[in-house]
Amino acid sequence: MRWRRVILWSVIAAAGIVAGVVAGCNTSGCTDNRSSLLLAGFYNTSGKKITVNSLEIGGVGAPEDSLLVELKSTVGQVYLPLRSTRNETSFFIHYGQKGLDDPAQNDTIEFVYDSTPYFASVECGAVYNYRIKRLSYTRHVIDSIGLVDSLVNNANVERMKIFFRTAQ
Amino acid sequence: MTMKSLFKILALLLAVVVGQNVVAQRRVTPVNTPATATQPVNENRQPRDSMDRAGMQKFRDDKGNVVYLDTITGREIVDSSSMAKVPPMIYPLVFDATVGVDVGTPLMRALGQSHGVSGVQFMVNLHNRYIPVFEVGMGEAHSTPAYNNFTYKSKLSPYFKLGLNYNFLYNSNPQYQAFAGVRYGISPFKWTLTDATVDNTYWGDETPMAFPEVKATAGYFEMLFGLKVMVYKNLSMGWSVNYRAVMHQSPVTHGKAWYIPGYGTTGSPLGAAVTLYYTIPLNRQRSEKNLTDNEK
Repeated sequence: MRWRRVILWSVIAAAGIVAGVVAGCNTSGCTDNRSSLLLAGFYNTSGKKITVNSLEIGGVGAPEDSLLVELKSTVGQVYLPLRSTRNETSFFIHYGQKGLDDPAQNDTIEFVYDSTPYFASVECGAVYNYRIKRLSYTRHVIDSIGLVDSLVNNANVERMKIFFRTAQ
Repeated sequence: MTMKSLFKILALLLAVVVGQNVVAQRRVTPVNTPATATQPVNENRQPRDSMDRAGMQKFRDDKGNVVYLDTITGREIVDSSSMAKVPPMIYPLVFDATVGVDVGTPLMRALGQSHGVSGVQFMVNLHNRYIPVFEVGMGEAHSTPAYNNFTYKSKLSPYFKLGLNYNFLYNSNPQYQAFAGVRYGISPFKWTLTDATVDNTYWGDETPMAFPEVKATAGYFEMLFGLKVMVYKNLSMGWSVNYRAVMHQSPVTHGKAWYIPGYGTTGSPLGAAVTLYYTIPLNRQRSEKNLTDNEK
């Protein structure tokens, strides 16, 4: 008889708890990015991570010539947003140091890619994933560029290494 | 007879003699020791350890056991050979069949949940202990998170589950069960995102995303614990909590589904269910006889 009471009351209590828990369930926040961004890190030619404070980085054809990195801001990485409406995007790097601040010394990086609609998660939403097919760049100050992974998704992971010829 | 023939005969004779000697070494030693002398002896044996039933009084105690009473020493010995044997499972093999309907999911839909429909379970109770379960149901989802850029839609699709419950109270009243179980579920379903937009602020692009309809198949595993209690006559209610994991899902080119029919949403490994059962007794008379026999 004791078992009957225990079970009966537990069923009643559990029905209420289940209803409460399920109704009260909440989704946690998005721990990755809400869109797919190509994270690029800066390195010197010996492979050491560096920070720079004399660069301007922007998208070629961006509205109102808006910049991703402004001069005098100290950065060691940059998020490069690829255009989902096109299958190629270019970025320029302008150097602010004396002797290099001529636009003719700018470096340009161009990506050609395929984009795929992707459901990242209910928290992070829908994004485009990009598969880079071709990467080309000029070599005024850039020594080389290494692509760690050709897939660009919303994970907050460095996918590209830009090696600069520096005095360091 | 030549000398060569003579040597041959001698060699043959020598071989026969040596062979005789080898045979002669084999002996058979008869065992003359009686069996009683080779058996282990219980050195702790006491004279009172054996009893002569003829000189004892016999009666039945209140549990129905036959008890021998040594009237001199007052010693009572229960006759274990006449004790009622308790069967390991007192209920017959096919005891009853139960149909269960998931009432928790429709209730939650009515309260505002954006996914799930319902399912029906078919169970056969074996010995009131092992309960194979087959479940079939339908699921769908239609969710627009207020803080995000899409509407998730999953069309009405079936799911199937196969598993087993183990009733811990198998020799108790069958109207009450505390059980643990396992399930494997599979569902072919379609899902898509609508009204999805990608806000690329830097480029000034806010473009609608043409998300394809994904035709997927997912398989999952569940471990559960639950209780079931009679409510009225053959009607019972129960709840269960489960720990679940998606075992396989394909394809994932456009991401993994948020909702899988029969599984629920993939955000949490924990789930719960409230079920209404109707039990069809199949061998209740036999089980009552078993109970009566056991009580004799």
